[in-house]
Amino acid sequence: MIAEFHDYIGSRHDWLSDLKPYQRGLIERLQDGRDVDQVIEAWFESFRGASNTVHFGTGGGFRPYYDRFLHQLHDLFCSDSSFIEERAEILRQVKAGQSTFATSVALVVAPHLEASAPVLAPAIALVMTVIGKAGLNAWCAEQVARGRGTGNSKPDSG
Amino acid sequence: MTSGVSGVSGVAATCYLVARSGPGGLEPLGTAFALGGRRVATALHVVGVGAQELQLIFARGDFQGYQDTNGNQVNFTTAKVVEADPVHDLAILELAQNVDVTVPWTLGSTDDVSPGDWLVSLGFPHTDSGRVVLTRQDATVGAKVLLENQGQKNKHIVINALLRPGQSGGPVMKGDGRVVAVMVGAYAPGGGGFISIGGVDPAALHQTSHAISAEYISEML
Repeated sequence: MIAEFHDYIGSRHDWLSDLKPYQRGLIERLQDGRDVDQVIEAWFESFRGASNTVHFGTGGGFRPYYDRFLHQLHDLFCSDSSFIEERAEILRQVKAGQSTFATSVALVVAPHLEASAPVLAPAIALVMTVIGKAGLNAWCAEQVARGRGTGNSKPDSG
Repeated sequence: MTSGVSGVSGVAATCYLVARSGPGGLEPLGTAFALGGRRVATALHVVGVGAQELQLIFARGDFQGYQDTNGNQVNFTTAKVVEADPVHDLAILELAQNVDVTVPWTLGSTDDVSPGDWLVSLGFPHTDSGRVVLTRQDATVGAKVLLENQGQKNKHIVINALLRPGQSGGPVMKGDGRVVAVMVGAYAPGGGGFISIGGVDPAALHQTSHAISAEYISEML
């Protein structure tokens, strides 16, 4: 099943098309002068809010999710012992046209990050763009090298 | 639930206190306002990045009448985040129940106002003290400013009003009921201080208040 999941990832190129128009617009404006990794970081940093402004909410708040976020994505995309049922469900939803890949992945990983899916979907689409350029195997290996994930990723035999 | 009235009263009928469940009961977070149907708008920092189920609390009593400040009983409905825009600090919530909320106003923009124009804001100040009182504040536009977030310069207005915790996410309207902005916070060099005296950040005193253009909500719909 993970091979089928990897085949799907390898077949796609335009991951930002998974996003809604306003999300694409936000990402495209963040791309100005940034590479993809920097755009992902800028997306999470933007939660800190506008410059020189203190908020008048009483709760909520912001916690950096970047490393934990990539850890979860590594386990979903690269670990053949994690998220087995979830990968099957993601493929089912996407092939049935019920959801986009980024949204389905966001719904899977969001509970593990105590985050809401709409917050994560754009960042996921960006990560897919990185994977599309580097190749999934290389991306998986890099995450392990950076100390993310469970470290038991299985090379894709093709 | 329908508003049934026009102008400010109509909006007041569809303005809520956002809260989440906590160990001590409902924890107030800020203000939200109806967009029509099951959609509600607020500031993203009010709800945060978390996926917790949210509660939208209704004002106690008719806004044109007396709101009971005593007692622990409130009426509320549940909602969840369905759209998030961290660059503009905005979020859209969806009500869990199938209620048809009709609002008589439209979403505008800070382009629709000029310095000196009168505005009306609605919100729930002092919610950090447990107060649940929908409060109207009349103020003027002090200035129109661009505030930066990750290199993006976003339209805001400076409002000549002193805001309190709980008012973030509230609507800011022209006299014709058009929502032109959403309250998000106050000017604080460096983003605020690191001390709190009596629950107040001194860096936020002597403040001017910021509201972001409501046009960014329209882009999310």
